[in-house]
Amino acid sequence: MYIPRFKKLKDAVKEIKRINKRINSYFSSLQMYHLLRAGILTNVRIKNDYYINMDELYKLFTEEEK
Amino acid sequence: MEYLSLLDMLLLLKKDNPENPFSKYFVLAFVKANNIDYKIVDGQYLVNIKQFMEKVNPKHIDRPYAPVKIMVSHGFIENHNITHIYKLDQLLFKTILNQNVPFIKLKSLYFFNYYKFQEEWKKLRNIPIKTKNTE
Repeated sequence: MYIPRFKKLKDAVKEIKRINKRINSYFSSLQMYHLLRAGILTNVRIKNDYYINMDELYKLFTEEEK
Repeated sequence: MEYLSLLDMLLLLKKDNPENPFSKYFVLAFVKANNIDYKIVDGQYLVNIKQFMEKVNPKHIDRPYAPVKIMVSHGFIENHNITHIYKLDQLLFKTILNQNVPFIKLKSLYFFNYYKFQEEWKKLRNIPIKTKNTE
């Protein structure tokens, strides 16, 4: 049984910005929050801490899924 | 195997990815918040692993995925200085997304795979995308 990578919301946004390097992707915590609220990403939450499943996020944007 | 203690659960959660930011407190709070089945034996919490995994990983992700460059449509317009030709390219932009590039539409925003988008853009326009940084 594989357990996916999880990151806290702010750390997840930081990682995406780090991958994009010099180009500003305009991907913010607020947009990540909207993705969670829309049900596109699994909402794993304890009080105000949101945990993002990074593998699930990357899977949405990989070619084989389309 | 159906019921695991909090410590075993924590070891399991960190088995594949030791950097997962979970703690015993997280497991217990998550179990209580999501009505997951648990029992207390000799003062020790035992949690139903199947129900727990169904809540944490409902889409059954079974392997790691490589990181992807994710771009938001607003960012694309801003970075590539195409505001003045945006109306002309708007159709092209949507065509590319609909054909080959994995994307998500949320209200007026498009989130898409930037690597794939660049490839398709080059094929159709025969010019590379100029960024502000490279100009």
